[in-house]
Amino acid sequence: MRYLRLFIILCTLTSVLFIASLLVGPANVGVFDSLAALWSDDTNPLQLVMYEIRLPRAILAVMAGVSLGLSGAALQGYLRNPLAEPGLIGVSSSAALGAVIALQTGIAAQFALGLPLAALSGAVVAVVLILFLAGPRGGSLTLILAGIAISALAGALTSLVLNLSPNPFAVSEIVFWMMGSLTDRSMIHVTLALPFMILGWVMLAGLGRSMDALTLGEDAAESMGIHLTRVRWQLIIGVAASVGAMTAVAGAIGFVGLVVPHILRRFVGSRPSHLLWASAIGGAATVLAADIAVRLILPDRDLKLGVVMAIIGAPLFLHLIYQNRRDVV
Amino acid sequence: MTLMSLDRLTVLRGECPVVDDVNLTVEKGDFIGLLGPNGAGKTTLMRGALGLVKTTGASSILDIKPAARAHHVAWLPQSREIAWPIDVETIVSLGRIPHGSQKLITNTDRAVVDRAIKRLDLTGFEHRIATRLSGGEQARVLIARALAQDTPLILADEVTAGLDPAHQISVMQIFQNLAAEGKGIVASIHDLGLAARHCTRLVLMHQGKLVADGAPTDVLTPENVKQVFGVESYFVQTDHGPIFQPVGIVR
Amino acid sequence: MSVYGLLSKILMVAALVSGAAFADAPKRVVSINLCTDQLALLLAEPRQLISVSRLSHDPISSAMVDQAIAIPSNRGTAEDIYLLKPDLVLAGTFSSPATLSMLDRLGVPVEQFAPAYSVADIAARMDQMGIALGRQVETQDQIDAFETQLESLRSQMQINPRAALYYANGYTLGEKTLAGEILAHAGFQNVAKEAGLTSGGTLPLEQLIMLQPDLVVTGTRYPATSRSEEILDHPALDAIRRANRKNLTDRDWICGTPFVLNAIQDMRDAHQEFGPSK
Repeated sequence: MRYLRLFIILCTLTSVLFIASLLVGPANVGVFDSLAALWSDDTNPLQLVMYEIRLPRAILAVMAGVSLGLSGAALQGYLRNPLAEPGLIGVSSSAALGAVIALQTGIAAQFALGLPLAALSGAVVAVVLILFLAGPRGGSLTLILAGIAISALAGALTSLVLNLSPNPFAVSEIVFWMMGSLTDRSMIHVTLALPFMILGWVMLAGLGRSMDALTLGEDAAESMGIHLTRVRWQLIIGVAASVGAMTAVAGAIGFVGLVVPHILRRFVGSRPSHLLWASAIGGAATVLAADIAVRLILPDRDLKLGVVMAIIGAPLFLHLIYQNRRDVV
Repeated sequence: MTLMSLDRLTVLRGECPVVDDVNLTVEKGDFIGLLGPNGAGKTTLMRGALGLVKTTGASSILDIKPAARAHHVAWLPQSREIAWPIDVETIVSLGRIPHGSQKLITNTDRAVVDRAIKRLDLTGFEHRIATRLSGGEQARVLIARALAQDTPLILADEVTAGLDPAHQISVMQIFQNLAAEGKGIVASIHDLGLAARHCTRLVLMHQGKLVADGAPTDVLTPENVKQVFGVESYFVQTDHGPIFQPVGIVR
Repeated sequence: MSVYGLLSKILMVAALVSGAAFADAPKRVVSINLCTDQLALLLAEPRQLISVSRLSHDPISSAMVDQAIAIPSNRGTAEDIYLLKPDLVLAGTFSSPATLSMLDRLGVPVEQFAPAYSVADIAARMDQMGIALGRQVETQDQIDAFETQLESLRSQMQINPRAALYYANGYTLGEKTLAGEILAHAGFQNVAKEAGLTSGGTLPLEQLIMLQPDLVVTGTRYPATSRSEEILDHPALDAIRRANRKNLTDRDWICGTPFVLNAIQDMRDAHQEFGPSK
């Protein structure tokens, strides 16, 4: 394989960050004690901390990263636009709206799958709207404008639902749904989100060939035997399932799907099919790193993941818009 | 052997027929120049024949199962889109997508891709980034991609547009040779002189209808050219082959 | 006498002696803070208090919801308050500054009460309320009854189990808070101190787990879901408090009123499980 080296580097990086993530936390415990606790059988508090708090957090970071990286790369491949990203085009905020509705109406309490399913539905609406508004060849301007409108509406409705909640804490949680956080998540969240994410990943991973063919345009792709309607639905369900499930448990984390494919594109010769797997692994590494950063920068505050990602991602986004404008002119 | 036959093919845009009741057959060895003024329906005819737009009437390509169509016919759209900065060799090998998995490039694939690259005189360009090449070079890369699809029939839209004379002639010669080897080519062309010199057959369209089909001398008659394009023309056989030149607008 | 019995007696006495109000005592009192609501409900004469805050009607937060429900509630906005034509407004020191300055401009007298940060503050706040309402005599009786009862509940425990107060968003309260003093009064050590917190602050879940408290005291859950409260359902927290958990009733802990005696009594009951008291 031509890109074996990249694959190994990304996997190593992700593994190192995964272990680092297990070692960072407010409870000051030594490196060896922490790791030993993962293999010990007796129930002591350290083992509890490692298994029930840090392990799910690290696993969720990987899951969120894979979902966001893969979705970003797939959306960009389909729309042939490097600005397409689940957060920027409003998919994440719509998923958050779905999740908040499920939580506040009690659907989530009545049956466990209600939460991810509602988030998924929110995401489906957004992806369908975006594909409809932006058209087959996602022009940057329509894409960004449609994304702004959908994000703003979903964000406002999320605030409304939380404002109407009888729970006094709900109102202050708007920031969680908008910015995302992995603090104090548990294995319950992992098992709730994983089946949907795997469905989404399988859908998106199967798009490589079609994405490559789409490099030459829709007509050329179709004449090469690519079934465009099927590709479109596979993309919609794949993005909605993975981003929806991710948002339902971790809130909306922006810019991962923008930054990761942008950095990795040159290393895979810009080939969309290779960018899919590379962005999946790279996304996992990025979210792990960001989640370590939030714990190191402000250990005693619950700094939101989306804040760190936006600080890294927004300048890059602006740069891409600038580049994009120059190309068009 | 017939590679494609269209029977009363019609494409409607709303109520208005863009392609109107066209009958056409393409045989092995044909290099058909599809002629007609802007809006005559050349592109739509080809897209309709390929099943990319909804049609009424029959196209033999649509009788082939969708999955197998890509083994029979390759399509070169006019837009020359290359969305990402990918190297030339990879772009050309995209033509192998219908032939199996993208991951494992087989020896056959390799050989076909190399042949296509050589044929379009792209040797040495394999690792150049396609989007940074000149328009003419990009056009050749995309033709090589279509060749790599290794189909008996190729449909090409405005393939010489924007190329310098040398590249125009070389592209026409490549198609000429491919036809001589037994492939069928249908190419829409605006340069009537170029078409007259290189094509084995010309098909003239006007307002969606097929108005002439045959050898260049039979199709590019002064009457046809005057009626369809609204120009006076000069067409003569010389030692350098046939020379066709429009000379003035009909008043 | 039980704490509850004592309180109902206090209320009865308060009702009986209420005729003896001072002549210059305010006639139309509006309270806009949950804690001043309750102090006023305890100490005012009937019909002196004409409106309480909306929160007083919420059974989770309000210890005197039965009495409060008989009095109309207000939303705590200046417009709302002004239309009631009050001659005294009772507010907390953390009430909206915009509202308070507006009332000031409108010439409505406002009495502000600081929150009770300790058990000792309770008597001081009651005293302040008595003066504000012109009911010093009745108030002094209640203060005396409260202090007697408080003294009888003071822990003589030899064993001091380690407890943690744990709320939504991983918030804990240290020993220099009202809740922390309630805990200490009932004979518990507060693990927040071990984590370096003396007043309120966030105690990360994994730090709490590592501290291994003998008892985790959590608040009453509010209706509907919030991510802030999800931490109280975390499997790791469940694991350490399976044997030793305690859901306290928030309303007895929030305000510096004699209802704090209920909270102390509850915690003393919880303490029994850790061994005999002297």
